[in-house]
Amino acid sequence: MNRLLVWYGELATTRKLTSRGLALLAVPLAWIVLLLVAPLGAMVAWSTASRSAAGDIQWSFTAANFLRLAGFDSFGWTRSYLMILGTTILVSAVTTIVTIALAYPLAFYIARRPPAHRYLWLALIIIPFCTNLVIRTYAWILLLGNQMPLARLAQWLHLVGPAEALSPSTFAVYIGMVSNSLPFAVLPLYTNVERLDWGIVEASRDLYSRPVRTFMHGILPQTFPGLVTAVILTFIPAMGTFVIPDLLGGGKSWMLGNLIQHQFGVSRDFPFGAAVSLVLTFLTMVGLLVLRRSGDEVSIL
Amino acid sequence: MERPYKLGRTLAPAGDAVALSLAPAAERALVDNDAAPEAPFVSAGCDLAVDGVSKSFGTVTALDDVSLSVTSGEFVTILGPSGCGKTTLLRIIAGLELADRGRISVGGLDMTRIPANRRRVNTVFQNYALFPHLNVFENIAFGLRARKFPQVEVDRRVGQALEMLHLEEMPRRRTSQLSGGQKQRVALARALVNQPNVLLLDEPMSALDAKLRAEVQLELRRLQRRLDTTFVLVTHDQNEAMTVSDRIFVMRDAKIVQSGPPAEVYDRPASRFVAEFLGTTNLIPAWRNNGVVHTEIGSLMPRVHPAWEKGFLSIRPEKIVIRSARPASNGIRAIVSEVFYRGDHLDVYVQPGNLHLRGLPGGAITPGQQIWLELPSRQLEAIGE
Repeated sequence: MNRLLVWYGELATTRKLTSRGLALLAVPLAWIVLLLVAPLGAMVAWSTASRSAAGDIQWSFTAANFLRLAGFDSFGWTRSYLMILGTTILVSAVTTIVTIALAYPLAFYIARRPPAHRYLWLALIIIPFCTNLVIRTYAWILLLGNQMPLARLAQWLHLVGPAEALSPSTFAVYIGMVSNSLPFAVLPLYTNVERLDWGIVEASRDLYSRPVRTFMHGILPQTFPGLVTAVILTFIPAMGTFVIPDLLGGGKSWMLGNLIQHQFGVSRDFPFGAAVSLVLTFLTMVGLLVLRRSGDEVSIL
Repeated sequence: MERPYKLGRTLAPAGDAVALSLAPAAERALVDNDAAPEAPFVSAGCDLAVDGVSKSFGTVTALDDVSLSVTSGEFVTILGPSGCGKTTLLRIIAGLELADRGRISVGGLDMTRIPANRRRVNTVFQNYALFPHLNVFENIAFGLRARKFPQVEVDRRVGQALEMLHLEEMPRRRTSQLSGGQKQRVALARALVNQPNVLLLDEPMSALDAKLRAEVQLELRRLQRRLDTTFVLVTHDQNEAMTVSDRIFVMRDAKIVQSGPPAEVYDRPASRFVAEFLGTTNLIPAWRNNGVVHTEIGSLMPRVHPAWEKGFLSIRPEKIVIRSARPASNGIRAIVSEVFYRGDHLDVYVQPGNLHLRGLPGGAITPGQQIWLELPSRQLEAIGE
């Protein structure tokens, strides 16, 4: 028995624990290196290379790709890439605002249904996501076609010309983006609202607050974690979309995602594509940092 | 008089300063009342009347034609087991729930349809419901800010409230850093700082440990006497009810079954339910025959002759007297079956009838002993089922 204790004591010394800890860490570390550090390193390496005339990668250590994104090329300065960057941020921001504005009341509506109905509602929101994004986007093209009720209504209101379709257009892009991100906003908000302490709402009413003040102090602070999660899950994927603007925007309004896709596809300019991807990653990280700082606890479901 | 739902506005903070400056310094804590001259309130505490209120949730009846009236400055307790509807009654008085039928009035004004935020009735919630995103000061100031009191006035009143509830050390603390007792005091301050006409307390002590609870009960009673505000406490704890209240309303199954001062409800329970719910009692099955009340331990004379043919006689353990010789009336010859030492008294069980009574420690009461008991007629209540 004593020998067993001594053996166990030796096992628990700092040195043994450190070595065993490292052994345990090895697998996740390898996983992170393989799937995160290595690809990111490759991107950084590519982004400083340049494209040869034949479309090969030339390892010339240069900042030209980043300068090109900022608008400087051999012909002087052009704002087209910065415009794409601006459009990306604008479209993502508007998508996020519209999505949250729709998801917030929807989350309350679902959370206040009887429990049996709640899951039906959640299922209705989740089920479309068993379908591929491209198929869903094509479905929107059909739905927004010039003979469909939505386009008919717009024609009747003279919002579009006679016999015109609603797609491709900026409006169609927003419809596609909002409908794509809605469940990612509804689910975290719903789990948040479901656990809402209505006692605090009642305390606010009891203490002479009108509905607006009750919302600001009784409901909003409580749903803040869910809101932050919803914003993250909407804004960040929106920053990287390319299928929706491509199909519903008619390829006219490019976002960073389209630019990247183009570099790795048609243009075969991997170094420039890698540089744009890095900038996008950086912007996303900044956004995340800001949001994480404003939300004490961020929980995803 | 203005339409009642205008109340919130007629109580302009401007009128306060005048009333406050007149309040005697010693009693300034929170007794100063903020009624503007034209406002219908003379003192902060008001009468409360609940008139024939009914409420049901689906098929469940929470309140069935409940009526009660409370006079200004009175401390009443609504006592009942869980699920009897007492919290629903409190929520209807607060305006957080609307009655299906009946009327609520405060200070003579009909409040039945007035929303909660327009009622000068404040609640201390069971789990305190403090605002987690605000510190102690802002929690207490919440109601004053909602009514747009000037900052100077908010500072002054919250300062007084903090002092009154011994929270001076912690105005900047977050509510998550407070202990249960401190949270409870913040909740109390948050309600009282508004000088409500009626203060409602929904089982405010259920989350405290027994020792703290006893302290808080006394503190609450002192506070209420000092502020002279109307307090309505909901509880299922009969000790708490008896300690703090001027009057107790006992509720059962959506109805008020008995009301009165604590001593009256305790000494003269009107039903078996009340007798058993408040403290412990001896229930002796009895029947009436030729004007005499018989029980299996002999015929006894209750305080009031019963109207029933079959019922119970009830006597509290501490009211049974041990005699050395046969008493003149209501005497029983009994054998001690069990004795339990309780420090300040003995719990004695005797046969026949398995009566429970109290004895003095140090006395020579031992199991198997034969003793004479008197069940004094004044203390023996005849009650129905």
